Amino acid sequence: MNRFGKSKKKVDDDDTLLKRYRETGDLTVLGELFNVHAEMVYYVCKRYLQDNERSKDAVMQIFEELIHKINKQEIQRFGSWLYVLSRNHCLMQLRSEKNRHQVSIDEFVEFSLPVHPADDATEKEEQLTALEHCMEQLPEKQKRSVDLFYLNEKCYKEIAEITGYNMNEVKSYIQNGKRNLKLCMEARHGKR
Amino acid sequence: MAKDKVDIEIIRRYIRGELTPREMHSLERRAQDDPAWMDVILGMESDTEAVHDANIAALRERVASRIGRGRVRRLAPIQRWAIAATVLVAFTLGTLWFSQWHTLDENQPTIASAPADTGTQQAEQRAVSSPHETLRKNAAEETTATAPPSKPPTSATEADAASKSAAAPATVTKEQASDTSEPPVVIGYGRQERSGVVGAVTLPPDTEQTKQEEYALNARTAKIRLRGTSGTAMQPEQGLVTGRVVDRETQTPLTGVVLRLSDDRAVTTDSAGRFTLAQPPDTLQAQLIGYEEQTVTLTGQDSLTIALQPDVAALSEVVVVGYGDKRKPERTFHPEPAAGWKAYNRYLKKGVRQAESLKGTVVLTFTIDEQGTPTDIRVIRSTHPALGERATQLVREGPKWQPGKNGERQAELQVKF
Repeated sequence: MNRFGKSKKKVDDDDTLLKRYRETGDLTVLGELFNVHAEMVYYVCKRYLQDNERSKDAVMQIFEELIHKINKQEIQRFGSWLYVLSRNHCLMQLRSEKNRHQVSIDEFVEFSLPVHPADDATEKEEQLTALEHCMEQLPEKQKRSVDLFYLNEKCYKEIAEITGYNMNEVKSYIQNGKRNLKLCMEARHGKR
Repeated sequence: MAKDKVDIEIIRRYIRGELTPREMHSLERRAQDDPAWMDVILGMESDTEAVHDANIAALRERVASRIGRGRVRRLAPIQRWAIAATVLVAFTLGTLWFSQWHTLDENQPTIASAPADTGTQQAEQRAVSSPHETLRKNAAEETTATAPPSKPPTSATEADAASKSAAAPATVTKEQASDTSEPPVVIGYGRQERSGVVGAVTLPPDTEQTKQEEYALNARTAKIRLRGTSGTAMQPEQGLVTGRVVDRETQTPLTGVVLRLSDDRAVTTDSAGRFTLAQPPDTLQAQLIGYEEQTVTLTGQDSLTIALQPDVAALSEVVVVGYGDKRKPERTFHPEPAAGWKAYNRYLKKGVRQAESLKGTVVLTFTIDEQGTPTDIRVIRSTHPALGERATQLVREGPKWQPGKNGERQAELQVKF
């Protein structure tokens, strides 16, 4: 199967395949659709489950789940939908285990700041001041990392070179800084 | 999620370190905002590219077989061969039987009375020599050695006996010479291995030598080919092992069980749980998810049934929580105090008050006799022996009881102090 050639023309391909599958119920069509995203599903499984065999099994289980659910739900964007399905499957699996894997909670925090567009200039101004204020509140290492990443648009590697922290430190400073910023912003917003 | 699809290729290049800092930043930025990208990056970072590629290839295969392409099939070639072999066997047996039946009545008396010298000698020579040589030699020898018309059948029967005891013990060779007036016919069957092919040709004495050679060769080559194919099917104990895999508890056939042979081959069972092995190994391992792995040693049998034990430990725990209140037992079917529960409880309360110093619960059982008096009072549970005694005394001296509606005389009572 052509692994990457397909990825370009696929944005509407998903919809066509999905529609065709719903009309015909032909598993081959669904397999084709799934194959396009199989790598993504696999990497997501691999990221949560870590183990090779478990990941492969999980991908197949997700495929079964897909067969089961695809006709029952409204699907806008197949890729995103499949990602959520895959991630939930993996998290469920981890949760049902007795000895849980270590999955850092940091990585589940989503940055919701850009989701709220400022209504007007004053509010935007206020938000910026708030952001500046909150940046000042951050511990030095987090502040530096966040600053370099978001404001100076440096990649992890560059940040690591500039600051002398190692890659993992950089990643966790950015994660934690982001979360602290979010909390700080929400706290200020709540006060007003 | 702005774009629907996670671009696997660019992440691959990111991890390989092929991107410029700008590209790296925008990818990282993207991953910060889109958990799907983040997960794929982390997933890809967790192992080497080679491992991922192998896993993905395996997955594509599994998906393909799940949706029905390239499925089933696996045993088909063997089955096709088995059918072909069966047809051949039937055909061969038919011919054999037919010609035997045809010639038997004519030749039998001659066989019984014939002398054996030349026949034995020849048969021994034949058995030792290699099949290809045998072709020519036999043809020549046979023609020179054949004497009166009565002898050929004899040499054939003797050859049979001799070859059994000589070079190839595993080989079963049979020859059937037809009547001298007919063209030479050689019918035989043996193992597929070339070394074991032994045979004899008998020819009518009155034909010319060159012609005889031709006949003999033709007959032989044709028959040898036949032997090769029919041999495997005729002696299944040497070549094929068939079997079935079932669930030990339910005896239902198991599909898709992987059998790993000790010589690194593997087969899977079909939808009826059956499998066929050509050239059986010493041991095999049967594996199926949800079942315990089992190793089987083959001891020369040509069929076997493997029963797999379901692996209970593989199933995860399920906790079922039920809500609901315990229903009070139907009073009417149990013995009751003759004056009703209200009065009885009042009586008990009064008695309990006198023993205030201790607190606890006592459970008693007793039998109600004909007069309604509790007898055979036993303490089932008591927080303190003294309370048990007190409760027993209260019940014994207390009001009368009446049996339950169905005549139940055994009663249980809980007294709280």
